[in-house]
Amino acid sequence: MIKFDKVSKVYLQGQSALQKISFHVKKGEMVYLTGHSGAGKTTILRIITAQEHVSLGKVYFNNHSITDITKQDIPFLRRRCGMIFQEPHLMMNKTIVENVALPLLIQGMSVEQIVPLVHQTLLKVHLEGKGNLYPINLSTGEQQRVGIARAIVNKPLVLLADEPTGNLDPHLSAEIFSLFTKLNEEGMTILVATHDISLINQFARRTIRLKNGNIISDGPFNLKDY
Amino acid sequence: MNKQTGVSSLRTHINEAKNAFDAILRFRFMASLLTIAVIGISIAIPGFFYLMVKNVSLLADNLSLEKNITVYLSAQTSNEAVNIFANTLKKDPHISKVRVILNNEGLAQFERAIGMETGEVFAENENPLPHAIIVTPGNDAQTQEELTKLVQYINSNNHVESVRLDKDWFTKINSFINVLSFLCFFVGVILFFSLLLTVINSISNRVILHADEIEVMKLVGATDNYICRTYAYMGACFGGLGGFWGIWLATLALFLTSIFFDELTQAYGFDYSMQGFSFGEFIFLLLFSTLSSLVVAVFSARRAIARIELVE
Ligand SMILES: Nc1ncnc2c1ncn2[C@@H]1O[C@H](COP(=O)(O)OP(=O)(O)OP(=O)(O)O)[C@@H](O)[C@H]1O
Ligand SMILES: [Mg+2]
Repeated sequence: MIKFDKVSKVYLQGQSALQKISFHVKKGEMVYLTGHSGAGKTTILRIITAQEHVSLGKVYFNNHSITDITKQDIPFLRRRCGMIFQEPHLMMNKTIVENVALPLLIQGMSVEQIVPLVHQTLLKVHLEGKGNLYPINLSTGEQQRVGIARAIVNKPLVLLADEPTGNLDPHLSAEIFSLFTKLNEEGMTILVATHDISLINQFARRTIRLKNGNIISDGPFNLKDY
Repeated sequence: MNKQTGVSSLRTHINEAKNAFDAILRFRFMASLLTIAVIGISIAIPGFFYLMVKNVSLLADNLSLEKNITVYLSAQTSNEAVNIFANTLKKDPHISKVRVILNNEGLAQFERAIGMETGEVFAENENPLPHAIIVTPGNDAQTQEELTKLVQYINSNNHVESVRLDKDWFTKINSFINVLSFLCFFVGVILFFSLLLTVINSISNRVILHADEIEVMKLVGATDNYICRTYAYMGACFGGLGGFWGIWLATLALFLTSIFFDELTQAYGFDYSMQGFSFGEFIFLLLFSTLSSLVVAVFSARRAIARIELVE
């Protein structure tokens, strides 16, 4: 599903973020990206969604090379990736339903098609009944779940999460991770960047450890490594 | 992907246009109002000049009905010859009215005018005034070209000494119309740029203010075209409302002018009432304002949107 082949990334200012890294995330896998701050986790996710170009190497998404994707194709790539961030990035002047409906609206779906999909998705993240509220009326954890609902509403091929629990207390964080594992069990491919070792330990999956832009281990999670 | 039907896509567009309209009313209302006001003035001032050109031209056309040709015959021409010539002119289809002023009548008029007898000054049969015939051209001889032909024809008669086509006022009004037309064009071009700049400024500002939202939209896969649509509709709303306001302003200005204009025309004995925009002109101005705002909104929104990328 996602394949990095000897990918290097040097930012314009000269910082080297990734050094010839290779890995392959298969369809239906759930994988963690860990490593110290500045290790290159966000850079990897941004490359997958074409927010950054690679400096060297090749990246494949769903068997297509996205290394030299054209500007016009970028929106269509992004429609197949659900993205979650530390901040939910909601539209504050739109209701929860409108926020979640956004990825469907921009694809030109009709309201009749959108409403049931949004409903199902809100059910999945346990926000049923909050659809007509505005983000300001929700707690931080609820807002984050709106962000997740928006990321998965159009059934993307992969879900990419960048420190999705950075702002949440341990209890809420565990709730979000259990939601991820549930989505993964339903068949969604998921890539989560996090440095919350206790959560990874709790929901153990394949873990790619980064250090200064290099992969130092890739395999089942092992608490002894930390 | 999902194939959308024509109906649902039309509905989406209508919905988005409505949202754009709502947005300019709800969000930064004063800025919207200012934009609309400037567009309105950019339309109103050249629009008003246009109306003046139109009305002065119409008035000039009406006045030309009153236009006369004065024909002076040589003093030796006998009264009979004058009347014969006058009769031939009367039969001419291009001439509607002929009035003969024989030189003795002319002298009598002159004497009345200066209030003294001239018998002591001029001997019998030594009237210095020429005979005159005042010719009013018919309806089919109103253009400059036809009038010139008529004058040439009259001039070809042996008795005719000179022909005077009173066209001073015509030249004057024409040059007045030319000045007005130039002003209309000149002011129109300058204010058209002010309209464009206002829309560019207003739309780019809104894109920048919405940068956060636009980033999110881009991340969930919105194309620049899709994001641009809202701003295109916004531009069209600005242009449409501004155009409407401008047309109204120009009409109001015309109404105020007509108060003085009517006094003037009545003083000269003309019956003329001023014309506002025709339906066609109204639609043209509205479309012009709407479409040019739409085009420039698309242009500036595309530029501003392209610059926005999420930086985490
Ligand atoms: N836009 C940028 N311009 C220049 N350098 C950058 C940029 N973004 C990241 N970097 C550099 O690239 C390296 C990797 O950054 P990255 O954001 O991928 O780290 P990270 O693993 O996500 O860190 P964190 O856990 O703090 O989010 C860092 O050294 C960082 O300084
Ligand atoms: Mg990061």
